[in-house]
Amino acid sequence: MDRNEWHKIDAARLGRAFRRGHISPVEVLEDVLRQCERVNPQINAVVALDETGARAAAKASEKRFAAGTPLGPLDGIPLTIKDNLLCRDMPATWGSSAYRHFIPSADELPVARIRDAGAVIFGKTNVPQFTLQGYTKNALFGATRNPWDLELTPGGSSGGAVAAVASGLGPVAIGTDGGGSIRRPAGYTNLLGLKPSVGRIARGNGFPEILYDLEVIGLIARTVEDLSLLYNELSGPDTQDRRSLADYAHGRDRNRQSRKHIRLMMPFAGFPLDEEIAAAIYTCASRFAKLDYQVDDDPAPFSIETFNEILDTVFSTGLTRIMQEHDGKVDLDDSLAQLYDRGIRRSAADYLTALNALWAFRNNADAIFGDYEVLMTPTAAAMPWSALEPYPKFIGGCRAEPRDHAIYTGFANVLGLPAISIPASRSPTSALPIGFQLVGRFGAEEKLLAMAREYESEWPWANAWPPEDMASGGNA
Amino acid sequence: MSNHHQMGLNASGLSISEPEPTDPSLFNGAQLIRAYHDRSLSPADVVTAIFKRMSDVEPVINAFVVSDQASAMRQAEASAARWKNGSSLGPLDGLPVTIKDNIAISGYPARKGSRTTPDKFDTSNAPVATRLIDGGAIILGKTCMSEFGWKGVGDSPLTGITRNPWNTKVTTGGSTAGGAAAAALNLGVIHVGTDGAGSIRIPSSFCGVFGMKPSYGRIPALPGGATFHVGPLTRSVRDAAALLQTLAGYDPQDLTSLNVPVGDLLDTLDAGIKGMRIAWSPRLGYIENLDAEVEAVTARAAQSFAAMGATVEQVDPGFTDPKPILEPIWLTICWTIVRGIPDARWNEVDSGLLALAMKGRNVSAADYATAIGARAGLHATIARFNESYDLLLTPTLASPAFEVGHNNPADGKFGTDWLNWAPYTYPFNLSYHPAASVPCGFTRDGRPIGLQIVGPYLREDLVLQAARAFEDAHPWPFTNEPV
Repeated sequence: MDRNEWHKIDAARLGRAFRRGHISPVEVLEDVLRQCERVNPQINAVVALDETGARAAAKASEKRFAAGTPLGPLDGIPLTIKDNLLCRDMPATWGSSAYRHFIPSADELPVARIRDAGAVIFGKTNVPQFTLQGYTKNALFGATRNPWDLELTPGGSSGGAVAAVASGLGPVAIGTDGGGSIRRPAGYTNLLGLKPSVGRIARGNGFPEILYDLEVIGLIARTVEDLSLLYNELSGPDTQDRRSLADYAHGRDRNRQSRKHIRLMMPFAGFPLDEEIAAAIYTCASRFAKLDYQVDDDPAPFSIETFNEILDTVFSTGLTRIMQEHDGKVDLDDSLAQLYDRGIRRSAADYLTALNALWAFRNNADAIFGDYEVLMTPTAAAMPWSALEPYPKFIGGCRAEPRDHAIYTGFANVLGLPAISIPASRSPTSALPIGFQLVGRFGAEEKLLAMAREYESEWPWANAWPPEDMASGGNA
Repeated sequence: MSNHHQMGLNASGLSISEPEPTDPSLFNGAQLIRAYHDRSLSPADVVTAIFKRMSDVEPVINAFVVSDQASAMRQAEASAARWKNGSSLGPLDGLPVTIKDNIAISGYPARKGSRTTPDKFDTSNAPVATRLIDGGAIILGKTCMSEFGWKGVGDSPLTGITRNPWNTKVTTGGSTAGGAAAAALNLGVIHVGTDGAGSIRIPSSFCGVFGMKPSYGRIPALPGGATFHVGPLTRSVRDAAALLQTLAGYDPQDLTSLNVPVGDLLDTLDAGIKGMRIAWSPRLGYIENLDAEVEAVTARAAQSFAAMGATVEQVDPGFTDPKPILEPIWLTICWTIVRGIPDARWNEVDSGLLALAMKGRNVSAADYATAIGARAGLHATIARFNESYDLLLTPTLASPAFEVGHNNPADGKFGTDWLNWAPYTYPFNLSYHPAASVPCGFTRDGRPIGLQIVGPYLREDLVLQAARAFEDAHPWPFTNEPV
């Protein structure tokens, strides 16, 4: 192992190396910080760095390993936190001038959990303002770029988180997903992204809830083993968060009668889909067939427009709510300004109607599954586009509406279901990553992780890294 | 009437510590089950006796929107057959029950206190109705409520005034008005109500019965709503526990119901409260307007928990008045209801509901979303409080029952917003916590007073244990005839 390449090692292997004394968390952190110094000026993923705090945490971890008392599998692992989550004594701007000077004094609940597990939090990752868009750019920090092609966006809103992990700035990252904000960026950067069921990772003490319960803590990793480690550490109830107290046994019970039956839902009728993505997803479908899954091409039994209406109601209302807290005095880019414009016109009755529709969908989610165990879709309808544009204006040669690229992810948020994005393959023309999505029944995270692991063992992706010329500073 | 304020005494001469009554319509649920067991009584005898007494008191009280003796007799005979051949369905089998008129049950309309709702039989059951029927309960009929449950008193455009059995000049409270009146008179041993801001606890307190709203998510609440909780009104705590045991639990039709085991509520009911840490908060830290008699009676009741082995400390839970959270939610619900009624029929709607609906029309989506978000904060505050205190005690209401036909006490002391005299109940709808009202005494002129017991989230068992311990130490009196 090249001593300068520790930043390319996954968390599980780092943990084993720590336990064996082959390397210390301090050395790994220093390597990651060096890598950050090299690549961050180009990708602009990390917007706040806490070298002092991270070094102290790494040192403390080193001592625990030396004493043979590590806190668990994530002890000493360097990682980043998305900038809409609160880390004590670090800025939390939410990508907005409204919070330009906000430095919380306490961790929010999931951050406290990962810190208590010994993880070394070294940075905050960039987001679009208020985490409401599918790219990652804001007036405070500018645009985050895709390590696979610096002209392009890593997607959003967890764009900073995926750009960091894809570049070796921590093997895992913690973000959020309110409409696909973990999964689409993961798909654009050759990473895994997990959005758990509502309540599976307890929340509390954070920014005001902006998207009802649609937004959950989401996880980014390079390998399924790392993703599972992170998920195991973060999931679980807390009395502060009522929704976290559900016992998910009903989901697990169903999954025990494993039927290995996948519903491939593609395309969503009436919406454009990139041809390369469609081809990649068919390839993945045939791969699952090789793994003895029955994959049926069976269109979605719902109207995606209805889901989009609910999402637009929740997103525009959420933005309006946050704007109200700041007396409307926050600058918005054009696309957010339009969202705000729709939000201020909405009545509470409209919002309640949307929530009632949401719960009706959730109560009838079983009908979408029928005999299927898992739903399969592309993660995104479009390949990554300009890092400076909020959304792609064309998809598959057709003119695209603002949310068209994102239509495959939001329905899982409305339904509150667990979903994962897994690297499918790379584009034959641009070599850019493409992801596919699996959506499980409520509480079926373990099933999704198991399927990802099966797939990974036959078609691994983690050895593919973005072009080195970027990492060495060539392609600015 | 002069000795009503002394707990444990009963103007009508019956208390639960006394020998079992001879009139089967005066048995509580547990007594009925024992009698079915030893075959000293058949469910049909009970139904006959109840309907006989109902025919005497119902013209005065007006608790029922509709009752169906023929149907109840058929259910009673089916139950009798099960008891006879040893195939009883459990702790509800053969128990006469009522349900509030906003819960769908096949074969009855659900008028919800409104003249604008269709007088048409429902053809399917709400999940709770299914569970009642599957448990062998005998449905006597459906009980009166304020229109769509919008207010905390007992009158509606559809059914007029429901009267308080303890004093027919005063209101039952609402919105589960008929359920509380029927519970007070034992016209049925369990009464299923709903509670969106106090609608089980308010009439329980005014009518001198036990009433409990379990945690949000404990009982499937279809058709549901943001603050909607289903729960029991009963004379005895044990009967309420039996109902909760049957109704609690996840229903895949309603994902707001949590899949969390409820435990054996009946088995743990008599565990006592020794060692429990109890907080007594007479004003929640911000309530200024509290009737002096209510304060004195509830304070004495709260302190009596110390004699049962708990520690009692006067301390506030640490939240500010959550009325700004309730208001946009409540107004919006009112408007979404009224907007579904053709304009031409708005003159048939309770004018108070209509006024709130008109305000609700102007609530913005953002204000509603802010309120929902704030509920999570309220829940978390109380969750932290529960790390130091197992239970919170408060008065159930700031006022005793007042004159029928009014939304507020006529002396104007509590203003013109009914939440001013009912400020203790809605915080725990917003926070999703379980809360009960136990009868704890009377005003000097004989109007019942209730003590509210609030438990940690999903800890119905603790609330029931405390209520049962209080019931055991200070059995409350009943009235079998309207006064």
